[in-house]
Amino acid sequence: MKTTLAALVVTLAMFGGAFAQENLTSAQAEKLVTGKKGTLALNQLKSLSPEVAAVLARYDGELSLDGLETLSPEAAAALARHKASARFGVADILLDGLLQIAPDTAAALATHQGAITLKSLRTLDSLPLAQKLARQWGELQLNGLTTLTPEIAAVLATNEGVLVDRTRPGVEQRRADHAASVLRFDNLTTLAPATAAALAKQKGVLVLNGLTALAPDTAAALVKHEGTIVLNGLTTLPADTAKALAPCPSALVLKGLISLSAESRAALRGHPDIRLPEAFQK
Amino acid sequence: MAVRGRRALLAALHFAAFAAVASASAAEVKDFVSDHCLDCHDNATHKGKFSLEGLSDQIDDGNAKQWLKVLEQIERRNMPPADEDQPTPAERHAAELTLEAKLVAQASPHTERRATMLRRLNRVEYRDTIRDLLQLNLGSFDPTREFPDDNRVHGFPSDGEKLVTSSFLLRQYLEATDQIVARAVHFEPKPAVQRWDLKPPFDRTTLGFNYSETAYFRTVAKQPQPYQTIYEAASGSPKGGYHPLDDLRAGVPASGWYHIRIRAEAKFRHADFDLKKFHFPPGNDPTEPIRLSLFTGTLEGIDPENKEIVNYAATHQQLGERQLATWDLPDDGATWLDCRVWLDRGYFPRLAYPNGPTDANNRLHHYFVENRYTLLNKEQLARYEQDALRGDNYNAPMWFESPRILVSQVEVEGPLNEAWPPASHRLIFGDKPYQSSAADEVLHGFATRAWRRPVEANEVRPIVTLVRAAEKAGQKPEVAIQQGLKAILCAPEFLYREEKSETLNDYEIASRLSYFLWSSMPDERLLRRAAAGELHRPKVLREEAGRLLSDPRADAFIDEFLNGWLAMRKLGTMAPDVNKFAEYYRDDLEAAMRTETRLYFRQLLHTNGSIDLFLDSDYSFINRKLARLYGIDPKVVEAAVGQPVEGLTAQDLVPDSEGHAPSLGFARVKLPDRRRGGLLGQASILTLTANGVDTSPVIRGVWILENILGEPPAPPPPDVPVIEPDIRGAKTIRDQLEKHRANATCRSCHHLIDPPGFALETFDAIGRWRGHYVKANAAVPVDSSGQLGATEFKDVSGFKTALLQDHDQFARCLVEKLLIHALGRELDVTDRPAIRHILETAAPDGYRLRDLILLCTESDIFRRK
Repeated sequence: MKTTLAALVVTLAMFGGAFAQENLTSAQAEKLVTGKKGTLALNQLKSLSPEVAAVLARYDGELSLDGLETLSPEAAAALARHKASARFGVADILLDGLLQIAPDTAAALATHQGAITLKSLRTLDSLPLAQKLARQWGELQLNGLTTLTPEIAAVLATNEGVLVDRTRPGVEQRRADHAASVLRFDNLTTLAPATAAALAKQKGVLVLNGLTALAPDTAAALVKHEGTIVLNGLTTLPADTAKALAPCPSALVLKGLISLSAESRAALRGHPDIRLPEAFQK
Repeated sequence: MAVRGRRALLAALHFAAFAAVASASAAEVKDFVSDHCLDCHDNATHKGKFSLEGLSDQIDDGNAKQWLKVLEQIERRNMPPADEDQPTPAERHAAELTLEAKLVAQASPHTERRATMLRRLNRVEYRDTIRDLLQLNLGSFDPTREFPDDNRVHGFPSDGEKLVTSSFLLRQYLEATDQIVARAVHFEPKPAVQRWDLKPPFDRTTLGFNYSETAYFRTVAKQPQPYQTIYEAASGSPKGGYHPLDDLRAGVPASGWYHIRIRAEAKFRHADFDLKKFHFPPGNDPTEPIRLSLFTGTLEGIDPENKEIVNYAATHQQLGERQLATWDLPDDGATWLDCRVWLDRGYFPRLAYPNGPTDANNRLHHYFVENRYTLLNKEQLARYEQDALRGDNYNAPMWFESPRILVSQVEVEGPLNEAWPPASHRLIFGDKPYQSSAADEVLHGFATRAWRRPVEANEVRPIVTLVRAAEKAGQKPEVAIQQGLKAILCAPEFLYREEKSETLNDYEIASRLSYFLWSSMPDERLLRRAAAGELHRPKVLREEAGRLLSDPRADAFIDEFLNGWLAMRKLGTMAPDVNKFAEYYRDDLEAAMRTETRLYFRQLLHTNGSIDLFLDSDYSFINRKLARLYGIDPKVVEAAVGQPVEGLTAQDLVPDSEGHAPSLGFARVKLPDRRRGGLLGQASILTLTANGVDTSPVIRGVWILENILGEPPAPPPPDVPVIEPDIRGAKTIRDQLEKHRANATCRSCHHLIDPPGFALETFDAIGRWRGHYVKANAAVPVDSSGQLGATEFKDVSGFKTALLQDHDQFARCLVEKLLIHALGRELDVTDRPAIRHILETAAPDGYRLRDLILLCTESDIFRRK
């Protein structure tokens, strides 16, 4: 009876692409990875043994492991052998529940050839992992980071954005050709001028929606950025910050502004591509 | 007897022609030929493989064609060539008259003239006749929808010889008649007025974004849905873009007038939303108001169980749909919109955003995905991503401030029929209740109107017998009489226009006049004057023709004549390349082009302007979109919209008469220079004479020869290869055609065809001005110079000057087209005196358009078979 029930659960999981258990045996993992494609969502898993990780690494498709809050170096090393997808814009391993990563785990993950997402990671101090993330295609969202050193920022800023998949013609190809690097930090509430200066070297879209205030010197460092700067966490823009932002050469997004003084507005008036709330556009 | 009568008439014509040239003589023609033709066209030189030396000046069956060719060459000033000694105008005129008289004299007694034969009503005539016979508001109903296309001769579907009738068409007549009678006859009680107060969502069953919006208000915001959003255009959308009113999806229960009120608001017109940055035209234009349109829709004939097909049909463009009304919406502030529209039973209104962003290939959706950081604020982004996590991609537009319409309420009330039974029923049965004993009277009265002449009792008797038989078989009198009505509409007397006598009787004249100017049956007044025997008098005919031309039904003449003369019907059949000419689709330029030419013609007609204005002018009628195409500031149009224009009504200038959409308005605009003036600068003509990708001087040249100069060239010989475009881009079309003309056989036609075509080369395939070709990534200046007759021209302005210098030829071409349309037959040499009379009468006033049309109707050939 138990066997039948387990089989039913597995079967349901296979059909639905999701698995509802907190733990997984190697045998169960074997059944899950065999003959299936697409996303294998195991978001209820709370822990992952190296053995199970090794089995899952053989899965030919996206692995969603967002329930994992910790990951051992061994399991990470096993997972890192997961085959990278050739598909445009698709992550290979989703680890968006991980809050912290030990240096060894980070180093192991850094050996992975595909794309990993770590949207909840609170700190990133592993240079190899930062370098690995910078090399990935697709958007780089590090929305859990509350701090960012200039060194790590400098590495992340080398991200070149979407890898163009030359095998896909048509509209998809044209979109890919034009997709720029996106670096996104939703929880960075403050930014040191040095970190800002490092991030300013990125070429693409820099999303800093966590910033609720921007000092003029940080603004002055940011404006050397040649892509799009998104600062939608700012609800007000003091005149000195506005003046510091004004020389920004390309798009500047300030959709969160609730108020804008005449002086600030005047400072921004000459900007070639500024995006404000509709109320301030007329 | 009939043949003898005709011969007598033609003999009279023969003498009349000779009388007109009493001063001329055969010797004058001989001298003219000797002085001006034989140098090149003697047996020795034989230029153009044409010799006049052996041609007897006694015109007979054997040489008439050659002499006609001589006459045409002299008339068109093609001969003598420009570099030879020219005859004086008097000599030329005398030679023309003499030759023409001789040709007419020869043709009249010996040749069976091509008389107008029995003519079937063409599609337009059938439809409009049904409309007027029964005073039916056809609305969405086109009884000819399934009829095959009519064959055309010289562009017109009016030649009896070509208007054939197939067994398929006969079956269509039977089916159409069933539907017509069902719409016309109403023994049932007056339908009750109903009212629908509709709240959002209006199209609950449509999949996609609206479903998500509804779900949001129900499950997240937990409040009554305050509006339904329309965020994409009604064209180019895979999801259709039409928003049906679900509560009316079965269609209104009865045909009639409906009062519709809509509360709507335009939002985010000026939003930070620029689809140009995403590699495709945006569709929307922030410089013009957001517009809301009301279209018809129906699900008739669709299996209601097939949800997929039902949803598709409800949300996509439908064949024969009508635009009921259009409004310019004010920004940021809900407003009530009002209209009174005709809806047919089974049809329902659909909302649409005609100038919204297009979502073809989901590009709007992709645009949102790619630009979410620059378009959304933090909260919007968070909501958007929550939806995306759920895989709800179509929710995306909800969180973006893209241009859109919020519709918060719709009220529909109707049918608002003031009188019952409707006019169609009363026209057949009168005001008394119908009884079987009245069948004779009803059928006789209806047949008299339908057949457009007095009807003898014995003609209707078989139809009465049919009705009586149906009654005997058990049908109620109200049902049986409908068999008789159908029989009248299927009778040859209705379907055909027969002109029995050589000289038309007054009823035949009435029909000829009304079908010429209205594409429909004569009205009561015209039939009354026919009954009084007045219509064969030219003065009365002119008076009536003038009245018909001033009636709104003359719109049919404008449309049909433009379709035939200028080939306007071809506009859009060679659809411009969507990649090269995206604005053609985005700005709905096809409709705008058609409207420009129609307004231009209409205004000229109603102001009796000179036909020279077809060749050149300093004004046109354009809307904002055409202004942009022509390189004119749209603000010039905006400033002029609403100003009165002589000869046109305010409704003429705003195509959507219901609702209120001045942004769609046309205005008379002074053109900045001479390039655009006249028909040859209008985008409609320039588009229909291109192939959708590029221009061809040959196609445009042939079009000008046929429709402006009246000199259609011979078709190309079968063994001449088509000139292929030089895909390497090294040569211009002029280079290619010059090589082509090096061949003497090709040159004989192309020296006439190519120059007019070259004159228009500075306009591209949708009529944009271009000074250069782009060849092999280099700009090559367009050379639009050439020679027309003796006149050299540098560009299109010079070409138009050359045309104006010899506007007699254009006038003759136009009159011939009018007569072909009016008479329903090809013209022949015996029509020449009448044509000459029309031209000579109209010439002193500069060939005014209305005068020319009236002169055609006054002409004796208009009253002859």
